[in-house]
Amino acid sequence: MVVLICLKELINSKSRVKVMIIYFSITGFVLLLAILINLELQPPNPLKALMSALKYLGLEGQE
Amino acid sequence: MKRDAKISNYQLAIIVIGFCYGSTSIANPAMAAKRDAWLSVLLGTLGGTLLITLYLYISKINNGRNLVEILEYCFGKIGGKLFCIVYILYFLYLSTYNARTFGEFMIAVSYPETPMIVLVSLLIICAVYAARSGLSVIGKTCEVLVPLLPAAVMVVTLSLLDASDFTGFKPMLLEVGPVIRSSIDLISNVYGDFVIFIMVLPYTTSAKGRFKATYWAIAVIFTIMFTTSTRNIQLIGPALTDYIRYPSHVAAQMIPGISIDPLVDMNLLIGGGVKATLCIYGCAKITSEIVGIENCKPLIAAFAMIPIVLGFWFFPDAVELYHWAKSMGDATLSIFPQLLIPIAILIISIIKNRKKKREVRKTPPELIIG
Repeated sequence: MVVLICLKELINSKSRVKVMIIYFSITGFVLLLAILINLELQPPNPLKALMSALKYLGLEGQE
Repeated sequence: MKRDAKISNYQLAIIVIGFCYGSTSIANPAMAAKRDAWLSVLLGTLGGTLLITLYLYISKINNGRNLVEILEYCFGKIGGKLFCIVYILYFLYLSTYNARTFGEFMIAVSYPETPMIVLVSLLIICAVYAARSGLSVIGKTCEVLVPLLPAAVMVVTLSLLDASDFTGFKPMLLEVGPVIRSSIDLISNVYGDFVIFIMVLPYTTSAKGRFKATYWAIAVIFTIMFTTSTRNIQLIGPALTDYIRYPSHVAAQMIPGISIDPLVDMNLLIGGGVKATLCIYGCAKITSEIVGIENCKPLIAAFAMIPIVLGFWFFPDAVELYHWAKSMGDATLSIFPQLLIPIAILIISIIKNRKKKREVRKTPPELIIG
């Protein structure tokens, strides 16, 4: 739906190719991640990894 | 450098208030400091003012360049673009965290049956509409909406003045560690996010009043946060303040005979909306500039979809979000884009500007005229 809303702008854009490449790579990434999250096959959470690293360094924050 | 969109310094100040206050309007700004939260707000504001001065000074000495141009000027074409990507990722994280906080709050307080994705999507749709309209429209919208933030805080605080209990402030400074940690959290969560304004500052109509407008905005933010934190300690007590996730909402519910808690909830809608709007706008603008696209409008909708999905990946449930908010993760993640890169920019800019001045002095006057 979002693609349809932006379609006119995507086609009319002066640097059409660049815009389309960026636009469709972002929407593709979002779609892929959404499917993976739905199937519970998402990649490891980077924020959890950071929290583990901080815990290891003794910077846990408030419990 | 000539810029199309223009905002006045008053609009800049108003956007800064909405943006910096953002999601902190509902959650306790200095949760870890308990009874010394007011002190954390004070220390955090002092540190934050220094940090914001650094950003303003960077913008000033770079003569109207925006963030992308400054990064390319300091680190070269390739290095600058790499740092631009760091900022895009950081702004995406900011909008994700903000949208998720908004969603969790709405589910916990107002709409327990509504799916999270619907609430977050609604916020993002509003943000996309505002971001697509451009900076001038964001400025004008903020002029109407942001004054409601201090008004809502004032209404709740004044309504509960007779219920205040000042014994909650004693004893002071039993533990220094949590106060300092809260201050750091406050600097990174509230004032450090001002880094996005390096992208916005060149679009103001006059360079003269930028410092003054921003300092006024800081004063307003400080007043709101100071009032909120002291009010919450007086009403809820320091022991409970630490365990209640949304103390301002609980405080608003304590007003007898009338339900004005939606007035407090409105704060998050406005603040969260302004923050999400600017972050998405910043991502699209930086991308369009590094790739060489004239209009960033078509990219805004694409970038707006990312925070919705990332929210489910980064914070699968309320517990994860709560743990993240209480950890030092946010402050650690923010050090690089909020402090280290700006300091590097400042040093390089000063050195390059001095070199330029020396070259101009060495050049014979007839050559300069020629």
